[in-house]
Amino acid sequence: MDEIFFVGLVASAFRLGTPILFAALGETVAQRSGVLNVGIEGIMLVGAFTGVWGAFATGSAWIGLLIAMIAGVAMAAVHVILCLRFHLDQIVAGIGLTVLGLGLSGFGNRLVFGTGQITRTPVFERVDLGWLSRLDVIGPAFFQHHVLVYVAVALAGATWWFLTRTGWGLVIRSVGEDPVAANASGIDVIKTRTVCVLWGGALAGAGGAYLSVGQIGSFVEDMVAGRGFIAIACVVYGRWNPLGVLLATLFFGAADAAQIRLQPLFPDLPYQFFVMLPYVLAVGALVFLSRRSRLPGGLARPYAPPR
Amino acid sequence: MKKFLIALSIAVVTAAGAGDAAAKQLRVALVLPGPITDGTFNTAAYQGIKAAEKKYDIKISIQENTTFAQSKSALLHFARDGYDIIIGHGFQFGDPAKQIHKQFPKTWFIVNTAKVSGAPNLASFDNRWGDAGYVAGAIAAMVTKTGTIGHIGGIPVPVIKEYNTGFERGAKRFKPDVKVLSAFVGSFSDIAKGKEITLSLIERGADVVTATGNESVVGTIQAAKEKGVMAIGTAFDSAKFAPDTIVTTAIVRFDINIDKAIGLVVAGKLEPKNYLLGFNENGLDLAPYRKFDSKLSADQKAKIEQLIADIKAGKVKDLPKIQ
Repeated sequence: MDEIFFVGLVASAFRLGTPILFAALGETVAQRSGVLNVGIEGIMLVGAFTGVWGAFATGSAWIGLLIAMIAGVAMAAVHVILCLRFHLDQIVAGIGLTVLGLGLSGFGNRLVFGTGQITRTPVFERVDLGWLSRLDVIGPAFFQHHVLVYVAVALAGATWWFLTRTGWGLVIRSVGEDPVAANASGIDVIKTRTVCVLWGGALAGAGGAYLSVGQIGSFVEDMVAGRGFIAIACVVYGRWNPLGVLLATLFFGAADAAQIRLQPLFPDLPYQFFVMLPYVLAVGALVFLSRRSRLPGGLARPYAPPR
Repeated sequence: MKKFLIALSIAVVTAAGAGDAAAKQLRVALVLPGPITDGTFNTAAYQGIKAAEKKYDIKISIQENTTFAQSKSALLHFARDGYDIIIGHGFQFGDPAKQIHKQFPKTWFIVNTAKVSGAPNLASFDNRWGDAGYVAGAIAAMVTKTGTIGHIGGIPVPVIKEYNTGFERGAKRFKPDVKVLSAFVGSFSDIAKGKEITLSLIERGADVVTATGNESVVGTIQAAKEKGVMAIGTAFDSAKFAPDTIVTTAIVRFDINIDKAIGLVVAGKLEPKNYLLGFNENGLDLAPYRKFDSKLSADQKAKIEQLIADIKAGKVKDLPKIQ
């Protein structure tokens, strides 16, 4: 493995992993509170579109990100109403959300930008970390990214600390493990879960905006291309632990970065072999890791508080 | 039961068709694999049908984002609805059209970028993508400074493979020691992955890149723009996305395909065969060099012009075989 390969691989792993990491961290919090949201894909799409719209209209990538997070919260609110207010099946509601997001983002894109043209927006600046960024090999691999990459990594640590070391984290986990017992101890289960699902929506929106505003600077329909579902898988691989989720998304990003770099080196092998590599590794990892994993006790079970 | 229902629907449709024969306006359906906003393969078809709508007395209907799995049901839907012409825009519509065309003898099935045909009502229009790739490769070989160029494909369907082969052969014609890197996205639409793959080829030294696909092409153009390396567009002239880095575009004239198809049906002259369009038939074209006009020498431009003339005259012997 030469230097160019290594630098490209690591840098690419962060770029490919970051949008998934944002969404997966939000989904981790939602799932630890007991709510499964499989509509992440749709929320990311809406975030991707509204991010571009916001950045284009205001001239600021950051305002675009903020608008994407607000739109993500609005999408998640639909999930809250369906699942927490009307106690519908969370998987069915989530699938609905995915399709809704696909339609809304595509429709919005045409209303705002029309057809046959690609809009350019301002993008996030790269951070200059002084001597760190100028290190040989290590610099370009780790310390020359968009600022959002570092935000996402820091957020993984913060989420871990919040969930395991604070009182509010304990409340969230107890609501997710056993809502009946949590309710009996005086915790407002519905309110707690609502906040967690909305936070999950905000982060999925941010993940979508990273993809569109951060990486491309424009929106195209269905651009999330399954990353929302990968994010849900990464929550499982990470065993509902934010630090595990961080490792899972970077591992997946690295596997994907590796396959696109191996393809041109072995032109005689069918390209499908490389494209499926990250997924094969992911399934393999799941088999290996699942022996010790335990999902939150109340996950995906509708809960109605006693009157 | 199913056969009966199909027969019944044909009967109903035929009866309805006969009823308003007085106002015989052709109904044309265009079934697209991606969104009309992709800025390449689907946008080109969309603009083609829009132009045809103005030119002919037709009523058009467009279905977008048709997945591989929905290909057949989309064609069936329009056929049962009694459309006169159904255009499937993509290789993947070939097999489904072949399976069902005989059940709807009053409808013309036309498939783009495929080579299927069947009496009495299945025709296809294909372009010589290999020739387009050949010219693109020749230009890439002339402008590269590193001696490494790259091709990024969406999914290796026949036309993309032909373009790829042509790209490599055209490049080697003018620079035998040129290195051609190639990789596939595994999706037509994943723009972020398209960009990432392009970046990886640029890392390996490619300073001219080209791409085939849908939105994934935009990812390549974006990556080239960001890294300041040259790009050669395909299918649809997208120079305005990145005027400083797009050298030219190997245009595939889907508007000509669609115009020809509808025009022949209107004139009652369409035959159930494969129509293959190249530079000679205006099915391929090269976009103006624009900002690169001054960067290419007169000699280089003359060589490209000569190459296209040679292709037209059938003098280029190693053009990719049509699969």
